[in-house]
Amino acid sequence: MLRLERVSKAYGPNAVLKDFSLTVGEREIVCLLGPSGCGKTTLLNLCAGLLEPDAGKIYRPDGRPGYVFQDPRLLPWRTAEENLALGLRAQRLTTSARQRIAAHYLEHLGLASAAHLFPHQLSGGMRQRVALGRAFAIDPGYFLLDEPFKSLDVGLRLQLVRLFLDEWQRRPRPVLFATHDIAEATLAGHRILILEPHPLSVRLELTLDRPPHERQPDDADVLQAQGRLYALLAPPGESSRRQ
Amino acid sequence: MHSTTAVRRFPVPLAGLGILLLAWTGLAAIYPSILVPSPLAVLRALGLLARQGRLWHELGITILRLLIAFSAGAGMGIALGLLAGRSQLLAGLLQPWMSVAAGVPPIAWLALALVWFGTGSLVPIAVALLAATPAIFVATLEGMRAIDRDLLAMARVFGLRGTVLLREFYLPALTPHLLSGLAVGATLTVRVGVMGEFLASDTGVGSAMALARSQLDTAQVVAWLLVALSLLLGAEGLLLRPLARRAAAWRLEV
Repeated sequence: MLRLERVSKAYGPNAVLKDFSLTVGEREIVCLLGPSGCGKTTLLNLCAGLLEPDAGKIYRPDGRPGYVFQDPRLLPWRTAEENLALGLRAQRLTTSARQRIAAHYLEHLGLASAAHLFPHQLSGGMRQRVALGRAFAIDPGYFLLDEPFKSLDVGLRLQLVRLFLDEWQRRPRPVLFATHDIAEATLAGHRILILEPHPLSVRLELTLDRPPHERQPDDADVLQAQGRLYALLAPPGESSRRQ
Repeated sequence: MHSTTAVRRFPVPLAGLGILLLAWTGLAAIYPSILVPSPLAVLRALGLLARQGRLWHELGITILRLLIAFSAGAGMGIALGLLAGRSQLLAGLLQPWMSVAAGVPPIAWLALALVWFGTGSLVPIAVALLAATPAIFVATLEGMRAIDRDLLAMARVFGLRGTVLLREFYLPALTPHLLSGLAVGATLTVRVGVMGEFLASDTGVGSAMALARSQLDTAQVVAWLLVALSLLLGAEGLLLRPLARRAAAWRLEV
């Protein structure tokens, strides 16, 4: 379980989080929908331990976070394979064990032929797949996804969400998934939180009943949830015009 | 378009070298050989030194001293630069030390080194070390300040620390800065080290140059000058270029 209890974090006079509490269940994917700059990244960095809260407590599951950033953040001087296996270098594993795990995920993510290429030789989608594989490879205790598929086109985005759900299904664990994209959120989330900034707070919460890996982008309940989210997120002028 | 391609194909630096040789030969024809020895006379002096074995003997001593000074300077400069890059406090504390080491003229350090160490190998090594360390330190610190914070945060999240973090992240990230720092450091080591030998030692290339000068054997002075120059070219070609090529291999893959 990943739990934040009355967490506060401020940069100078700007309170990004104030008494913010959130619990992500042992087998739960929580999607965070909200405008840019509302504090999603700060929230994820707090969960990852990259930032210390000013006040409050954060309870993390055992194991490292599998963090997938907005940009791939690959080491430019390492190959796709070495980047994918980067987190394993910090663990006490034999070289052959490392290579076996890397080979598995390269194969799984369709990167086998790109194993020995450097990041600048890869397409944007491939780079983000390497970043995804890097998070998978360490068998993390929980996942933190910070709009990881933002810069990709729709088809690729849904494909990568699918790959993520496959991995999650293999071993469910807490996930915080920040996104801009309503389709992505309704496909992956058990729970979708609509966030507001200054300080970060949950405006609305939407729960989807069917498990994520059973959903398809065009299922009725998925589309219905999307419709509700669009209506909720539309600016007031829009909704009044429609009535 | 045509002219630039032609210029690129033609080895322009070689032409510059040719003009230099021509000017030298011309001056040697005008002035007496004690002032400007001809290229041929210098070549003969060099040949003689090689046959006598003095060339290799003095060169060996100088190379050993310079290698000691350079590796110590590089080790200290890089280590302190890395640490200063991690700690504002240490960076502030080291700043005046490095400014003093780099700002005081090498000749002044030489005067002090003579008082402290007498006339052994320690003098050229010490002055070369004092010249090289700050240059390498400054380059390393600049590299540390240019480190991509996001990439570092990623490395931390994935559990990299200690020597793994150094090998996988810091050293490759710093490579361009380190290489330019090491290049400047190597040049300073050779220049200041040979000067130290000239003024304060009775062995090595610099001291042999001083001896030839006192005997008014200008051809031999210039011969030793060429030897000192070859040290610089050797450092560049045998040490820095291969290092740069290895470090930049990933950039060249298309």
